[in-house]
Amino acid sequence: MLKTGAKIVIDGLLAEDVQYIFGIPGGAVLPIFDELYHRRQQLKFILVRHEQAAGFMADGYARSSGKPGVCIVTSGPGATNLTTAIATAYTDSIPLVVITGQVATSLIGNDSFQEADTIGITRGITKYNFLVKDVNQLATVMRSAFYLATTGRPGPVIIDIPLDVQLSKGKGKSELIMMRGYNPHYVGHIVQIKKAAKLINRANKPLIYAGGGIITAGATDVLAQLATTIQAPVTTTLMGLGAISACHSLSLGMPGMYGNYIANRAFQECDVVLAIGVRFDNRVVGIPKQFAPKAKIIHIDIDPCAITKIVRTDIPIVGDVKKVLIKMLQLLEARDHAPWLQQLRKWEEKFPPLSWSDHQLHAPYIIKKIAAITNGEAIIVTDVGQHQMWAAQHYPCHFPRHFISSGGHGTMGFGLPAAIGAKFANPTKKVILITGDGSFPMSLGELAVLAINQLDIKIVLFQNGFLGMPRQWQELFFAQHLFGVDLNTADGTPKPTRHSIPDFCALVKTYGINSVTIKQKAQVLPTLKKHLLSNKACLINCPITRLDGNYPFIPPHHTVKNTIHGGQS
Amino acid sequence: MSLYRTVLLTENKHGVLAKITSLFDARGYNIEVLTARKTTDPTSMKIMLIVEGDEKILEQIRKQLYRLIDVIKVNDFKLVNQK
Repeated sequence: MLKTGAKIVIDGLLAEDVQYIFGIPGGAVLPIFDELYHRRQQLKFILVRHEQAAGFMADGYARSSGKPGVCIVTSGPGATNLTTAIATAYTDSIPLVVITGQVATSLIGNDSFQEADTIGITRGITKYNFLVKDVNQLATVMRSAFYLATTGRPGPVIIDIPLDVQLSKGKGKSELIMMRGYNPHYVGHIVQIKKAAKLINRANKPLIYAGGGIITAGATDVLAQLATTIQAPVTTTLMGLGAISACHSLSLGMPGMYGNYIANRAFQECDVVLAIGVRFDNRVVGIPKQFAPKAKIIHIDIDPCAITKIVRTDIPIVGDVKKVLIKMLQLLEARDHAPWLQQLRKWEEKFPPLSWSDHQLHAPYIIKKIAAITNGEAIIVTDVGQHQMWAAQHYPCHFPRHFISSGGHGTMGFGLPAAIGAKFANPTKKVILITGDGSFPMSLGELAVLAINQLDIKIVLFQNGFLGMPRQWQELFFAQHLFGVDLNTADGTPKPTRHSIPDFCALVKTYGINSVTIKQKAQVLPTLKKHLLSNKACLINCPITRLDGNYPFIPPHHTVKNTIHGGQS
Repeated sequence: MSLYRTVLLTENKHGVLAKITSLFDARGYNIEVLTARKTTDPTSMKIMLIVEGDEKILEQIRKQLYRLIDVIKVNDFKLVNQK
């Protein structure tokens, strides 16, 4: 039976059990929107305010549910606006299927109205992209896109569909997917696994370096079992938070530039690193040659490209993290590394995390109270900046897919739309956005989506009037030349007086969203209790101490030896 | 830096060549020689390229070439000459 391209698209989405599609219509996708109109009961369309946010919502949906996120935008500006969201998903290996309209085939290359070379622009930030010029291939492309986005190392896939292809009729049945060049390697090589197990069995100071790959593979239970068996401490990256409960006695917290001191110290002292589903990000590794100097490195990853990319690997294992760990677990001996674990705790006592015991309002204090009130069961979504690192350091994450943050790409403005996507995916869970006054305004328009869909999302806004990350670096590395960082002056040179433009509470009121401002430390607990436990969206505005920094902090090109333990500057 | 040569077997589709060359472009590497033609199997294409670069980085590029969905086979980079 022949179908229009538009119908093939929607049929393809329904065949993949897509529930929500985020986007904005435009001239080059209207045939698909017309088809969506007819099927709006089966496939819910969520109208957003900026294409980038459509991508972030699909991303938040995917990160919190494990299912691919889907969005649809028009050609030209629709597609170019979306690029930052696509890059964000690409860096963090998040499965997205993105449908972009394109000008009619006959107009491509003519500098037509709202034309952009979408597949050219997105080449480096997608796992794959399709320009569909023949409607007869569209059904197969739809299936292939979901297959590519969700298998192997997941990632965003774009389907660019010219207007005439959406309107013309073709065969609606997908052919068998044939991709000679795509064979993700799921089963790890047994010889390598045996070698790794032997090394771990002989280790005295093993360290597990756990990343987002564990969450993607659904391997959190196996990880906990493995860590307990061999009694190895576990450090979880920003993307891996929740891979093991932060309360687990073997958990060392996050490593890296803004990581826990003991996590970083453990890298320096350990004799075996078991790296699982990580990509040795430069913010974790620091100086590659001085990374884990005494250790042999075992690296398990589904993507061969991740192996020996930054740090030499002694035993690479390419495969699905879960499958490999299950096999490895059978070969591992139960161990007790008490001296090693005691040593780590001693270091922790020597350099305890900051206590923030004064009477001022500090973000870490508030974050800890949020965790206490929600029992760590809420889905925490963050933006990017100081608040993000504070949340990563001080919010004890217990479950996978409960800490949603733009890790690799570090995209400000991610938070609000990602929280909206997470809420659509998890309507019965509490979703809390932790954001700052630098990031939040970047996606303000999406407050309309939150309000119109009556989504119960709590927004905790840390307001210090600064772009705090660059400010901290200017303080430390640019001779205190603070510039471009005060959000309330024309060129960002700090002024001693405190302003706030806009008045965020008044602003959210225009969207019909309630707000409250916490002015004193004593108000933190009662205010959070009242508003976090309610079932209505709310902005919790927290004007925090202006000059707090993110500590501990390892300056770039330094190692744990040069950790700045900081304090309240 | 030295010149290295490799041969790839790829799908014979639009966009493949661009995806391959952009990996070199992104690192500021100049491609000195490039030939591409379809094989006796018209769905496949053989691409030969000679590029100046650092051996370690080229090994990384080799893996990333292999990661491209449309690339079927990648040969190791072989040293052509030392400059």
